[in-house]
Amino acid sequence: MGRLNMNNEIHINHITKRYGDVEALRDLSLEIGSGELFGLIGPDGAGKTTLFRILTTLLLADSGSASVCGLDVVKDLKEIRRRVGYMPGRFSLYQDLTVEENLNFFATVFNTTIEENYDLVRDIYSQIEPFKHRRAGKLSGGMKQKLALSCALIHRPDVLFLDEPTTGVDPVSRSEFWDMLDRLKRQGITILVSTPYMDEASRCDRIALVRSGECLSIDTPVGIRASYDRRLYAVRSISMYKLLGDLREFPDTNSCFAFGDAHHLTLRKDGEDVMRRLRDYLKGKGYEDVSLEPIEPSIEDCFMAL
Amino acid sequence: MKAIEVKQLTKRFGTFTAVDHISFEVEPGEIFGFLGANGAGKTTAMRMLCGLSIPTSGEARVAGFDVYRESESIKRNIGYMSQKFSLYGDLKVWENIRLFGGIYGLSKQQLSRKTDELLDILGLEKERNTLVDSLPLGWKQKLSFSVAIIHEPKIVFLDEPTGGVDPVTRRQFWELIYEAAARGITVFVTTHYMDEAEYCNRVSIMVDGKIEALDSPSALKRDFKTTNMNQVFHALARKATRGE
Repeated sequence: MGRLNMNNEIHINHITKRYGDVEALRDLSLEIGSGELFGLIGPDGAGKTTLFRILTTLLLADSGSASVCGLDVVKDLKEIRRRVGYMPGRFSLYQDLTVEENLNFFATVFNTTIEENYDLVRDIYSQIEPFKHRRAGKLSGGMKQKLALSCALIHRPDVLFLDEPTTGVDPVSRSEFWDMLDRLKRQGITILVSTPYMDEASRCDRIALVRSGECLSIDTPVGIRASYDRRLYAVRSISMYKLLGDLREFPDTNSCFAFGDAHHLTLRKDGEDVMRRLRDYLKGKGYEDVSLEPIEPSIEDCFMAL
Repeated sequence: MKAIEVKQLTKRFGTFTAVDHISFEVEPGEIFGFLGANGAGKTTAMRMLCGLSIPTSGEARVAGFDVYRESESIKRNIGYMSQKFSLYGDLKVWENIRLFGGIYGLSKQQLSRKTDELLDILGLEKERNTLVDSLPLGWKQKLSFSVAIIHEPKIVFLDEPTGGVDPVTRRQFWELIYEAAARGITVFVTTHYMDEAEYCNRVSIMVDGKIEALDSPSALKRDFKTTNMNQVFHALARKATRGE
């Protein structure tokens, strides 16, 4: 198949969707290229699932338009359904069918067979194949996730929609999941994936930071980090919790958040003068061991600054 | 007295050993991170410590009570919160506080005082009559945590409390944890966020039913010659051989 030459783009033009008083999506626009691995990064309630449901033709927008593979999400819904794979956030396979029966079911619905497209799912499915006679409802979280991805892929879709595939998954399994996405991307499949884990952003070609139904920023991970416009410091001492409170009370502090083994601090002004005052202030509070160093922002820093 | 004392604790399901001779102690007021890959046995271990599942062998005392013979006393002295189940969405905020406070044995006077206090601290006074389902996830989690410690338990168990919330709320949540620990409540917490592992006094990492590492984050990073907990976790969890 000339997959690489096909139009596997996603266009989203001024989409708005309300549920009663709640605006789930606000005039959202986004262009995703053929073969791109695009991440929607944002917390629960940002509108990510609503967007997925509109793009997979399961929900109608109140206003705006969208197309997938050049097909309109309202007029061409049947054709779109043939061309996309969708892994919803909630496990939605048949719990009382076995692993193999689920995969077979999805293959049959799309007029194909497991054998025909086995090469595409082999990488993922082979990991759960030893359990193919187990009922899907009896699988652990990580295995359910692999089965759901296999079922979303078995009809060889051109575009893949993955709604929070790694939520609740441990860090090692998460990084293995992203390795799988890399391999699928190399086959030319366009992938739109959402996640609340900011550290996964760097695995995408481009990302949109979303909150309350709006895209706050759209760029490559490198671009988003480069656009962070404050100087950021990592501050450490023995008594980290006390340090957090004291840093926040420093008059020139703009923001201070715990980031694992360090606090990330931004100041209202820059320069030697402020830094000297900060050091004196901390000395006055009884700290002898504070280390203070300028650092590069992470995606999480960028998100929190928006 | 230790908050939690575990010796050679084991749980088998048929031929499968979910928890395999684990031993550790948790000090009062400590924030103890209980890490491990999916399927490593964390939930099974936690259920035994909460008095919900009888061990196959080994010993465990929680808040001084024996997990075999005194599970009802354990339940009265602990709080529990999980992201998956915490509050009743179709009850109002005050009704949830009242329900859980009642289950934890608070008197009427204590309940009304605690309700006002808690809503004030969380800034939720205006939401007193709101259905919990219509609160943002971050608020729900903070409320859920506060309800889990409404009876000032000796120990609170938190099972992946921060999944899916935004980065600012996640940090506010940890500040609540710190405050609880500063008041002397022992915190036993599981998480998949490795930056949160850094906020614990000590962490254990489970692999295939066994505790493979247990120390302060700084000591673990030194031992594994790395600068972050994520790499410590990867180094250990990649050794796992059993399927999930």
